Amino acid sequence: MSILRSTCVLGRFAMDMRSHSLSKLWSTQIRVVNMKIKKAEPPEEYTYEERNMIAGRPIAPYLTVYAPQLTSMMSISHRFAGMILSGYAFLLATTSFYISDMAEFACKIGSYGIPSFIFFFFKLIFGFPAVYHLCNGVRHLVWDLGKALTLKEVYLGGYITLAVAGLLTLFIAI
Amino acid sequence: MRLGCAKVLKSIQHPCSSQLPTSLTRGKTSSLLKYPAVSSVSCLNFHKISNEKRIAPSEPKVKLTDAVRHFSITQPKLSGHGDHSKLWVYERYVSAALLGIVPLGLMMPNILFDLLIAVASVMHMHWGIEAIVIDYIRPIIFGNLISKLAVYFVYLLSIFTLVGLLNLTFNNCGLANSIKLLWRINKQE
Repeated sequence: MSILRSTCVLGRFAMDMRSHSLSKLWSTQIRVVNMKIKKAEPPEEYTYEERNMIAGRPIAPYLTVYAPQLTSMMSISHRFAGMILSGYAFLLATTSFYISDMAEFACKIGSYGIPSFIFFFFKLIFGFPAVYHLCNGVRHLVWDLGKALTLKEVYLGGYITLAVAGLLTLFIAI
Repeated sequence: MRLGCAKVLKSIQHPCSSQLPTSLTRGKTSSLLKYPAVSSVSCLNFHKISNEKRIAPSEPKVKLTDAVRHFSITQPKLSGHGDHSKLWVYERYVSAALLGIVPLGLMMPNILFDLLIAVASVMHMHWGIEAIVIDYIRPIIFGNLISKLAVYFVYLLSIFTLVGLLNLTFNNCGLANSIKLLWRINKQE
C-alpha cells in the first residue's frame, strides 16, 4: 500500500513538473525564428574568361611557360598545315575563275624550261604540308578511336608520323 | 517534377513495352521525358519491377527512386540549333572518307570523284578553320563583333571555295586533273 502511494506521489510530482516548472524552463529556451521568403540574388554575370581577365590570370593555354615539346608542336603544326591546305583549295578555286584551261596553263609554264631541281624544291615545300596533315590526321583518327593514347605511344606515333611524312614527301616530289 | 516522373513510370505496367520507349524518346508529350538515355535505364529498372511483382503480386514494393535518380538534368535537345552531339562523329567520318576519296580520285580522275573530293574537302576545311577561328578569335580578346564576323567569314570562304572547286570540276579540266597537271608541269613534253 505504501509503495503504491509513494508511486502515486511520485507520479503527481512528475505531473506537476511537466505542467509548471518544465514548461517554464522550455519557454525560456525557445527562440523565435522568423523565416522570410527572399528573392534569390542573381549570380554575377561574368563569363569564365571575364573572370580570368579580372583576376589578372594569363589566357589559357599560357604558351610561354611551356618548353616546346614534340606533342604540342605537332598539334599546332597540324593546324597550320590544315590552314595551308585550305589556302591551296582557295587558290585553286580562285584560279579556276581566271584561268579557263588548266592544261593550257600547265603547258605554258612547262614551256619556259625551268630547271627540274627548282620544281623539286617547290614540290617539297608545297607537298610537305599535305603529306604531313594526312599522316598526322591518321594519327588523330587512331586517337579518336581511343587507341595509342599513352604518352609513350603518342611520342612513338609522332616520330613515325614525322618519318613517314618526310619519306612520302620525297617520294612524291621526285 | 520527380513525383510526376514516378507516376508516369508507375502507370506503365509492361516492362519495355512499345509504350515506354516511344513515349520516352519522342519527347513531345512532356518536356521531362526528352532524354534518350532514360528509356534504356528505366527499361532495366522495369525488369526488376516485373520480377518482384511476380513474387508478390499484391503490392508494388519496389522503390521507384532508383529509376527516378537516373534522370539526367542535361538537356542536349533543348539547344537552339538542335542536337550537335553527333557532329564530332560525322567530322571523323568525313576525315576518314577523305583518306580514301582523295587517292582514288587522283588515280582515276572523273566527275563523280571530283565532286566527292570537292564537297568532302570543303566540309573538312570548313570545320577545321571554324574550330581554329573559335579557338583563337575569342570574344574576350577581339570583342564580340569581330569574333562573330570571323565565323561568318569562314562560311563565306567555304562557300566561295566550294563554288570555285565545282567550277574547276565542271567548266575546266576537272579538279583531280588540274592538280595532276600542275604537279607534273616539269614532266610533260
